[in-house]
Amino acid sequence: MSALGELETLILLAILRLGETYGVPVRDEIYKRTGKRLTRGAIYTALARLEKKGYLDSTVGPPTPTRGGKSKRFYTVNEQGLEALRTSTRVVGQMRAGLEALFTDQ
Amino acid sequence: MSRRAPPRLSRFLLSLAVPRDQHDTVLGDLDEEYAERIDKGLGRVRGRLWYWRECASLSRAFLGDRARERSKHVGRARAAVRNVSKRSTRNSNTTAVRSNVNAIARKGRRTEMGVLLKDLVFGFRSLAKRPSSAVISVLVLSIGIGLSTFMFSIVYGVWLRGLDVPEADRLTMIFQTNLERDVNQRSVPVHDLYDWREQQRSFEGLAGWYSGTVNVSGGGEDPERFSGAFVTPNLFDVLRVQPILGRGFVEGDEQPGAPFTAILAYDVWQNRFGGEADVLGTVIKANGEQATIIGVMPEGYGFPNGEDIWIPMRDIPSQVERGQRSLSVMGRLNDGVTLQQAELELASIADGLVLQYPETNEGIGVRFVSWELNQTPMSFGKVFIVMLVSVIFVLMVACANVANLLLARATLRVKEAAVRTALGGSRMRVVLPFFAEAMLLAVGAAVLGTLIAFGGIKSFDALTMQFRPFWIEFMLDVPALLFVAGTAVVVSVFAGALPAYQIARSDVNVALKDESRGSSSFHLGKVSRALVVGEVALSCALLVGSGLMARSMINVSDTTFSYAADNVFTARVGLFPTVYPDSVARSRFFVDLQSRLESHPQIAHAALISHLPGSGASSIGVAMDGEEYQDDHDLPTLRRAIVSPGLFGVLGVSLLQGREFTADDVFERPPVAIVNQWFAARHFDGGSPLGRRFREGNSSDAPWITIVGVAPDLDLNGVVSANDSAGYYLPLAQRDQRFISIIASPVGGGPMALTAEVRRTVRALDDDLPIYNVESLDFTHQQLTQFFGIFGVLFILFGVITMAMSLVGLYGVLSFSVNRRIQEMGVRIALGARGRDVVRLILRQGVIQIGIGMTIGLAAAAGVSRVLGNFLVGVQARDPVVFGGVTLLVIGIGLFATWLPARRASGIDPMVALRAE
Repeated sequence: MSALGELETLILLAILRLGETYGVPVRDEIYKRTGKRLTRGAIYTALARLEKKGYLDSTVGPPTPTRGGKSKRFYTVNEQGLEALRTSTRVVGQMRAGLEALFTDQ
Repeated sequence: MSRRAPPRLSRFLLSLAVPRDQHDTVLGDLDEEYAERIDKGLGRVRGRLWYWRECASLSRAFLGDRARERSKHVGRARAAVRNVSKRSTRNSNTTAVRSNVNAIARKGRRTEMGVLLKDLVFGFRSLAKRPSSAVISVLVLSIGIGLSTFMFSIVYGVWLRGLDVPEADRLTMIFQTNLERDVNQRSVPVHDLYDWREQQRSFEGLAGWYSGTVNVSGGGEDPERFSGAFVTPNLFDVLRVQPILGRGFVEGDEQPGAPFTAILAYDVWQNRFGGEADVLGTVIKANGEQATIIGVMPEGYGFPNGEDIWIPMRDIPSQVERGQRSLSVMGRLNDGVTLQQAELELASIADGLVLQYPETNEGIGVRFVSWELNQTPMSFGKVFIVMLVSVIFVLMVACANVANLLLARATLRVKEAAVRTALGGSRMRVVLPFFAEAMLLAVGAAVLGTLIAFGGIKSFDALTMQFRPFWIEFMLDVPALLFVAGTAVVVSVFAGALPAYQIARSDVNVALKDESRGSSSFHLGKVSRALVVGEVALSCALLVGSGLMARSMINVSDTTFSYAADNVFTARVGLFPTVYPDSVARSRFFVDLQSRLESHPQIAHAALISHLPGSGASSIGVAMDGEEYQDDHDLPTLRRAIVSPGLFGVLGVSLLQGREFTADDVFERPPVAIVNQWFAARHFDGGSPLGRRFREGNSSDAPWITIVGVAPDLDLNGVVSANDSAGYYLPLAQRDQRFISIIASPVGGGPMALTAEVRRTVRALDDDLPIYNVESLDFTHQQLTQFFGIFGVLFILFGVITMAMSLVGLYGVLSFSVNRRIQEMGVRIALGARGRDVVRLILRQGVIQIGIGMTIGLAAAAGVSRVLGNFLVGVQARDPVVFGGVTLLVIGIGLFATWLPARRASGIDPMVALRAE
């Protein structure tokens, strides 16, 4: 199991917040909460990567006319994804231990 | 197209980049957001911009991702190989394993190649099925490729190939500037050159030279006049070209008292000295002085201006005053020194010289210019650029035609493509056959085009041999072939992309359901029509250029001279200071020469003139008596030739007013001039100029020159120049002249029959004096206009070819659209439409395209003609005849191309048409 990159962590967290969701809201959510404007391409490639690694499950929704008859792919974080997130935040937490004073908001 | 539909092309491009399983997700999300933004009031243009930008960034991300994946894959396979081979170094099977794993790594790439190969075979078969359209496409494209390669070779030869010497890119010409006095470029006085050489560190060597005439006599042959260069001894070292025979000059050869030496060009060695090795050590007489031949240069070498002979430059600083004897200078940079560094160093040395020698060097700076650019300044080269651009136009038209042809064929294959898609063929797989077809056509055209270019370049090379510099050669070499290859790639992408795009965007569902034979769902219209409009516009612009050049050419070749140019012998002589030290001696020689010529029984009239009529006399600023001039810049410029009495008799013209020069107009007498009619018109406004005065320059020391006669126009300004040709003549006996042209008319027979007589007459006066440039005045004029002829013909050729191509294009598109509408026409006729109505329907479609194309084309033509302005003779850049003629021609030919298919449509038998299901 490989470690999560920062981008991947952000995306997993965003999906957790939103529940079942697709690319556009993920991007909006990250922007809303962090002010980070990710490119569309980065989101899609990361989603595909995360799914391939087995952290995300996806289902295909029905096609709609506004999408030119194209269907939508919805993603959810699965148990493995959650575990990976826990691991990576735990690692960070362990490294942070004892340094809390530096990280409290002023 | 509905307002909310996103731009198709960008979407298509994106779809090529996105992996198939993510298509719907990515494109769907994007379209949805686009629709939202449009609904929120984002304008159409800004919306489309947004969409394009997003597509570009998405494509980049996905392509990057794919590349990473692939390299990871290959990397893993390679690592596996390494591991295997490490573990089993003694295993004989290692190589097999290695190749096996490498094969895995290559697999991805290989399947792609296999597909392309299959498509090429498929494309070849489908082209072979309809050979006529394939042949037409190849022909049309090959003309486009051939012409542009041809022009490319010319531009390359003139500006890019440069001197054929080792490491020519380390060489630079160096000039002086005097910006305070508006001098951008002047040659370098010898004292400055020697000072630079002493102080600089940037150059391996700095060499200087000036060109001149060298009369060679001795060796039992007739004396001959050669063009020679007087060079610093290190010139050949700086160029890194050494003699093939004997030695080059060495330092010291230029010193006073050193033995006088000369180096021969290969041709001179072959022709005058029989190509024998014992030419070394031969003593000849060069400009009246004994000189020893010490070397022979390689064949084809003629630096700087196609020289025949090189002689050490002996006007070294100890021999001349500071500021005298200016030279052209070339330097070779030391290794590791950049041009900028060298320029900086020389500039600071020049500043030092300003302080040291303020009288001569005040305001003097330096300027570096590349050899090629100095030889062919941009202003002159514009004509080449215009021509290169024109042939690229031709190529574009050719491309458009082929794209159209392929497009027409593509319509027949919509169904095939739809089936492929429906069976799960990727987009790449569906569009590839079209690129493959275009590629085959382009390769065929490249081969044929190379042949065309080869023929063109060969003949251009031969035609320009006479007047082009020795170092320029036009040939089909590696750069030209690379150009061909590049063009072929661009052509196949361009010609293949349109049909591929059209196919790829067509709707699978509709295409499969469509019951007619797979064409009605195809949107040929807009793109095809735009292509035709573009073709018409381009050919319009080119034809105007052709027309202007053609008119200039006719004007030049039709110049009716106001004087007898067809029966006049001319030849040139030059006197050397060593033999004729002062103006008295020279003047005496000229007077003797003319009287001997005139008294010759076969010569009717003879005279001497500094510049032959039509060859362009020198310009000079003059001050008119009674006018005030602020500055030298305000002086009017006029052309000046120096002539002996009798000139007007030779040319068979009589003066309009006043008298000719006589034997009495000599140095001791008051200076006189004969002005031409343009001078009189410009400065005396109808009044008689006789008795009025002017002087050369604005200095009060210059003597006043009194006008004694008015001559008709004798082309003082050159045959092909459109500029004002106001000018005047001064008597030879009042001016010191070293070079002069003999001009004579025979009593009977052709002018050239006088050659032997004139040569004998000159040698009777001076046994060492050659005559050169022996030719009839007619021939001189032809030489001067030859340049015009060549370029005029090229331009006309380009225009006609483009016109033909757009004709083919227009016809092709319209006849295709008529074919598609055969049933519709049949129905119309069956319902009572008359042939006339059908013709009108089709014509309307054609006329709209021609009209739009022509409007754009005429606007572009105005730009083209402005650039050509300098090369036009006797015709305005906005010549109404040319513009009007081209307009009519394009309308006429366009209507003809439209009418042919229209007529066919009107003749449709409704029964046949309706049955043609």
